[in-house]
Amino acid sequence: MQKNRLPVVGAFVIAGLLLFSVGLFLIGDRRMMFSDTFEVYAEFSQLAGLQSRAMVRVAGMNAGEVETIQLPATPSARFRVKLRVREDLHQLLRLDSVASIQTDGLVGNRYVQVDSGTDGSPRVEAHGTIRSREPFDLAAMFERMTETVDLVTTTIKDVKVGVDAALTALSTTATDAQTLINDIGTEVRAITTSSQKVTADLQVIVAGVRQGRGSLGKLANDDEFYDKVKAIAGEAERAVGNLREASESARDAIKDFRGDKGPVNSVVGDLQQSLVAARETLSDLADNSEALKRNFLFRGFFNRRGYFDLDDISVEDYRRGALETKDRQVLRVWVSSAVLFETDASGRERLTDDGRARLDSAMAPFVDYSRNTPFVIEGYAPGATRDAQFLLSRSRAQMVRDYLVGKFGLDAGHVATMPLGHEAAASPANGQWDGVALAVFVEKTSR
Amino acid sequence: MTMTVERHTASAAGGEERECAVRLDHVTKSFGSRRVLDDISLDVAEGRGFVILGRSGTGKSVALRHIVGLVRPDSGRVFVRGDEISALSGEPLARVRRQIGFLFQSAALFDSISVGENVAFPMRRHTPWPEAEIRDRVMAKLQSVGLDQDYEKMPGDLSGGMRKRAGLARAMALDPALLLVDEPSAGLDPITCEEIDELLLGLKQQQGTTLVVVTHNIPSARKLGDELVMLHEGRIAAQGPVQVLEQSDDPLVRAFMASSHSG
Amino acid sequence: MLELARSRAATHLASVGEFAVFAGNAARQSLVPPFELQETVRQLYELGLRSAPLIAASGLAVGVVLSMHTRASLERFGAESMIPAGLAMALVRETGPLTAGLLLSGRIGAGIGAELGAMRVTEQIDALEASAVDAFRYLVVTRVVACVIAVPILTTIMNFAGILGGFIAERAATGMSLGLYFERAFSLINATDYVPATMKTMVFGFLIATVSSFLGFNTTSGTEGVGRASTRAVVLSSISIIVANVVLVRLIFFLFPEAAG
Ligand SMILES: Nc1ncnc2c1ncn2[C@@H]1O[C@H](COP(=O)(O)OP(=O)(O)OP(=O)(O)O)[C@@H](O)[C@H]1O
Ligand SMILES: [Mg+2]
Repeated sequence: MQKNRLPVVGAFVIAGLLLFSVGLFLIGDRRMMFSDTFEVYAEFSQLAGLQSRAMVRVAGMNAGEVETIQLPATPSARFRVKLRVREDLHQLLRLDSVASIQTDGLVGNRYVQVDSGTDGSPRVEAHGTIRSREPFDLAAMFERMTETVDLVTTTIKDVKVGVDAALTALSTTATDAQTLINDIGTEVRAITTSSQKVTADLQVIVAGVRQGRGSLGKLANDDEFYDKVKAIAGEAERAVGNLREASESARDAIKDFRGDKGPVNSVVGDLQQSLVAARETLSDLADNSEALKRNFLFRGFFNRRGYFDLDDISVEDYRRGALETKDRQVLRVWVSSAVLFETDASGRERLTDDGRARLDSAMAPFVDYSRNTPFVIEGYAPGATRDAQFLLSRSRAQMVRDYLVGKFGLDAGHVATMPLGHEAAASPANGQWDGVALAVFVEKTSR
Repeated sequence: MTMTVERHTASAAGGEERECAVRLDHVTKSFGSRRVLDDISLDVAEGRGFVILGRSGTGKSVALRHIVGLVRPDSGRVFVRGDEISALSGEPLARVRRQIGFLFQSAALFDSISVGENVAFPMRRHTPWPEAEIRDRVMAKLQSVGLDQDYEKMPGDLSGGMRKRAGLARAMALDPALLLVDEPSAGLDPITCEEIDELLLGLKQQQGTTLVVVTHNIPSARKLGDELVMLHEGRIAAQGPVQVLEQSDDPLVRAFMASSHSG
Repeated sequence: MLELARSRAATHLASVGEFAVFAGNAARQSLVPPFELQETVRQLYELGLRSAPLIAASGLAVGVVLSMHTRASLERFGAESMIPAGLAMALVRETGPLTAGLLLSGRIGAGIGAELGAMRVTEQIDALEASAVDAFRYLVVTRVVACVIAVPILTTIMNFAGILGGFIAERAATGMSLGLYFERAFSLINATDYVPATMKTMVFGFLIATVSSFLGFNTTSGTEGVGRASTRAVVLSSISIIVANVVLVRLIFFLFPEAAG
């Protein structure tokens, strides 16, 4: 009979067993069935879905697995996670090593990342406990950011009430002050509006993410996004810090008005200084909440809703007509610096009453357009150098913007400034302009 | 152990069954509602030739299958060389069967192995013989049925008569004491038929093999049959040596015996 | 009418009972000697080794196709790096065992059903019995043992061929190296995903062999019966595998809760 089949069949069976063991070995490689290991513990109050058998990486290297997870006995206690780690990586685990729960790619497979410690620090003993960082939880972070923005809003409101009160008290004392009151009041209102908007937008986003829908929900699974959001969280924290400081100094500034050195006893110059200080503080504050709003996360959101982040458009692009598309055209009103500005004692330009009146009338054709129509204040200024032109045209545009936003209750998010120097291709005065131009980009169909 | 015990019981129960190679004791068998064997009793003496005759479909093959234990009677008992084969199973049954050679009516060659391997199969299963000896014996068996050129052929490549002869070679492989053959000459030419008859006769005379032969070939029956039995409609119509059947009162039996039809 | 239906149901129930006894005997006798070693080896050759090309080729094709599908869906989430792991996980846990099981119930089931059926109607099984050979042990137990051994091996071949197929597709798409591919492929698989899923195919092998042996062994009515036995062997062993798989997966999840994760 065909006895010569025995070797072939034997080879078949052995090859099958070998192949099976290769699979086992490829798994076992990670499972460390075949190498020396030791145990350490890490504690987390949040597991973020970590399960036993999950991978452990030491400094990014596959180094073992989660063996067991002990449940906390009380709400304040933490999960105690037992990690089994390859013995040959023991020297990397120092007392200052930090364990954290990370996500591997999209599917949400969790693993424990252990950063290697520093050389000076002693080794973690077997069965010892290493430090841990709580896992990053997107929903929690959004919540924190909402809180942060709420804090911004309340702080600004506080400050505004204080400043308004101070300014009301002052309003009768000096005419110079009147101008500043106006300016500051405008600014404070602007900040408040924009902050409230940020808050509202954030809440929309957070709700969306919670329900797991929308493009943010998808992005939430992305590594790159994860890093960015972490950066935002950091920024937000810093912003809160700055805001606290800002509000402190704002309060101090306001106290100065009211205290013994208040308006009654002090000269106009002091008062002016104080108000300038307050104004600068509030500018910082505005920058902070603007920064928050302009972050990656929100930028996409605003853009999608038809907002234009003009920070993204360079002066060159703007000149080339970046905002004028096939269904949008520009309407411009040119206002000359002669009407608008006067130079004060310290050599700074400021708006004149005539200038304000001129701007009010110039706005007349624009108020009909919807609030999200892009509105750009173009600043133009002569100057010896391009730098000087840029600086002056910027400060002009900003001054006009601040005034208009305050006066017409415009949405600070929609009104941009664009410092354009001396050149003005479309100008009624030989390709140059000295002053500002109010530009609105309207839909062609809306005409 | 159990085997010996059973054998003793069987012998003790049968008493005189020692000299009987095969004994059917009131065997009745039905398939569905059709009674194929109806209270059949017959004895086959050791070393004799026993021929079963009968028209097609009367249950000759079924009777033969009873003897080798492939079919069990509904009632009655079947003894083979003192063992009640109709009551055995497992190893005791196998032990009885090793003494029996069986040629199926359809030859029933194992068609996944060659003709030679078919003949070698019982040897490989039941003897410790070395390969060379097995090969010699297989060649001898094949030669005796005239198939010595066809060792390597596959059963599917054989003619009907060749299959029958290969089947006979396999049935004789272990030189059984009891050889059951179902129509050995069916499909054979007269000359080959005669050769087969001579072969079987030789076995009986020289080795004392008991033959139970089912055949329609009256010349064969006359030559091989020390005793003949004629089955008809599940019953024994006539039994005895050739002369007895020839002088039977039953016209059917006389007609049967008078025919010289072969095959 | 009712009478007829009732007697039909009774026949079916009776054959289920007969099958249970048949399978029980096969299981018991495969564990106690004497073992028909030579015939088992022959069956391992016929049923196992000769199925390997079919299984390997199907595995490759399944791997390529699975890889292309996972790519299409994972790409959308920027998770292409998960393709090897996802593919290997799907293959090792379920696709490999079940596909191999079904393919083999086609090839092996039809083979056993037809071969034993033919042996039954041409009296070869009777001839075995008449030669003092335990036909059940010689024909059925050997096939059952061969299948129980061969099906897990063939499943393993299927798994690896599938992963290799996935690698070929991945290589064509991104030029990934074999080493990295295999590392990624096995990065998510646990022993509890791999070992029980492969071992459960022993049950598949047992079912394929017993169901089709049962049908072949009990073939009646000549050549037509052989054809019917072979067809029913394929149909019934496929169904029994699919049903058994549900139970087995449940059982594995119960025994190895980690495998459910
Ligand atoms: N396994 C079986 N199941 C049902 N019926 C059977 C079976 N075996 C035989 N029969 C029936 O028993 C009867 C006798 O069959 P048997 O084969 O013994 O006939 P026979 O005498 O050998 O005829 P022939 O000379 O044609 O071979 C037949 O009617 C047959 O249909
Ligand atoms: Mg017959």
